[in-house]
Amino acid sequence: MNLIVAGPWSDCKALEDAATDFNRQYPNCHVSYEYLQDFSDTLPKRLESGDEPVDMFLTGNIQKDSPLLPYAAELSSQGEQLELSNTFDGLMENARLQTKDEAEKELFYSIPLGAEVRGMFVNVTLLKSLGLSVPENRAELLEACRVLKENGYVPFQGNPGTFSQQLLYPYCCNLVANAEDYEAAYALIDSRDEQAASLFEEPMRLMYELADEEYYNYKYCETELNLFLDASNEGYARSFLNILETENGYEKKDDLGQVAFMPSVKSLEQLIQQTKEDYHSQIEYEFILAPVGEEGGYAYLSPGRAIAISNQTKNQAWCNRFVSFLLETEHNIKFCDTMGFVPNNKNAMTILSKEFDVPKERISQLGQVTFSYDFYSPLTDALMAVSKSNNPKYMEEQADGSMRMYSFDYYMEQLKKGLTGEAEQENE
Amino acid sequence: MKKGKEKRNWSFIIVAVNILLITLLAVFFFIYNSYYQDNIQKQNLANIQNLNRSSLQLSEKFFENQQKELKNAAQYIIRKNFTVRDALDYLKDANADNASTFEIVGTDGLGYVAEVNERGEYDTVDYTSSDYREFMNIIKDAGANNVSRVGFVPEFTDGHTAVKSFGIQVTVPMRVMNEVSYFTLLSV
Repeated sequence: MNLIVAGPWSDCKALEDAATDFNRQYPNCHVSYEYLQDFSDTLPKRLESGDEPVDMFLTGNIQKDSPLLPYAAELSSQGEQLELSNTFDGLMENARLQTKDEAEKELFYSIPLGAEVRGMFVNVTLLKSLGLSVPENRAELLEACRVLKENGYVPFQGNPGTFSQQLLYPYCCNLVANAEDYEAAYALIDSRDEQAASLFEEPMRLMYELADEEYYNYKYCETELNLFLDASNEGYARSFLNILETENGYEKKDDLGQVAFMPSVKSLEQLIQQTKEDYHSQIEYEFILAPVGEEGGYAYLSPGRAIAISNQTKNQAWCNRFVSFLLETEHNIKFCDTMGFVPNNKNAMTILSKEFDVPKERISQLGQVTFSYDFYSPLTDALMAVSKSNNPKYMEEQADGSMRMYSFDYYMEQLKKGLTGEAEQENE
Repeated sequence: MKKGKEKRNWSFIIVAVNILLITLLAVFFFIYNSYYQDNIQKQNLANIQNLNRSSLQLSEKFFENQQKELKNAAQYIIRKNFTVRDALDYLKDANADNASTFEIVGTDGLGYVAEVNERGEYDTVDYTSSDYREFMNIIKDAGANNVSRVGFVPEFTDGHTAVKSFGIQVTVPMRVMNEVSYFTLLSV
């Protein structure tokens, strides 16, 4: 019996290790991982063709608009064959179909294998060279930025498409999920009230300050430092470790680096570590929750990579058994440890709290900030616009011909329009 | 008394001989077993070597055959000064091997499969994703200086079938709007 799991990475040690352990328990069943290049394009083709069928595949959340829905087996109907009793409700809730049809609400087509954690990678070597330690709260973070800038560094770096949401989305979600009156905060946002934007004034102001002080200046980093020129994970890892492209290919520039703080997800760590080993970099680094709050960082659990079962597989029972195996506490913890995820386990919040030494009042999860409309896009679009505000292309021309950042109120107005739906109406 | 003592001596000798015989049997069994295992292992190794040699010969023959087909197709296309469309029409009919397909890919990573779909069109392939970086290092090098030179393509996900594949390739010039452009002809 051979089962194939298709995925988007050239290798997946976590899955390969799980397959080995599974085979130990079930000697007559082999699970192998197959890498499909250009995964989003080739996976549907492979599932459609039926040639060399794939039994399971790694995926994001499969909802009604997903191109993979026609190929995925519905999993709630698997009953006891799928053992999900150890999973975390918040992640499983998100996997269910988001629909108004009561008959479909319990259906789901993929299962998250763990949760992503947003935070930032910190170049400890660079900080130490300037007598700085890893910041633990906003005040220390801004002070570190000031010292870094004085010494010619751009403290924060990353691609603008993801920078601000990876840095500040956990903060925003915590403002809702752990508000003094959660029901009131939720209702304010869900009803698309004009006042909803004011809930996020602090993170927006922090992003504005980072841009205004040029503690984040992506255009400068692209053009002058040749960093973060592409948005790929490999590009991120190289830029963070100061591995630059030369005429001879990629070479390590030094063991100090130019990037102090790089917002990202924890699962990037294995690639960074691999890149560090490949290029013999001596840069020490840590992954922490971005310390953007007065008291420290915020944790936010969102679904990591999920697994789905092909509805064409002839081995449904074995696929159920393998997925159940992956979700057993012991195996899921091992899998997620390798992947850099928080386990999809009912103790996920406790695990997260211990790993990052963060109190539960500063942890939120996707289920607490899911609304009746797409809340994520207008908020992250507004944050991204602020992060780009110091690019001359997005500045306001003054009477004397000089360029200046738009005011903070301008960006708050954009956020308000996004959350109330006014922006959508204007676009129509 | 003397008889009893004699009897005891004989018993002792019999037991000693028995012990000796059993020990000898055990030693003999151990030596024979080791020799037997050793022989089996040598035989297995020989079998594996033979198998590998046969597989290698088969693979070599297979690749030689594929190379020949590819070269022949390339030479015909060049001789006839085909456009991409002409070449696809020719390859579609010329390819009798169901296990492999021909693809024509431009230096930009876009191309066609020499197979007609239900709509009567040639399916397209797109290798522009950054996942195909290694593959594109070969494709984008197609030019006048490597026409008709056959090379191997390392394992990749075929853009048409999405199956793990390997291939051989050759650079072929084709007519595009009365000018010559260079393409990679792939046998996947």
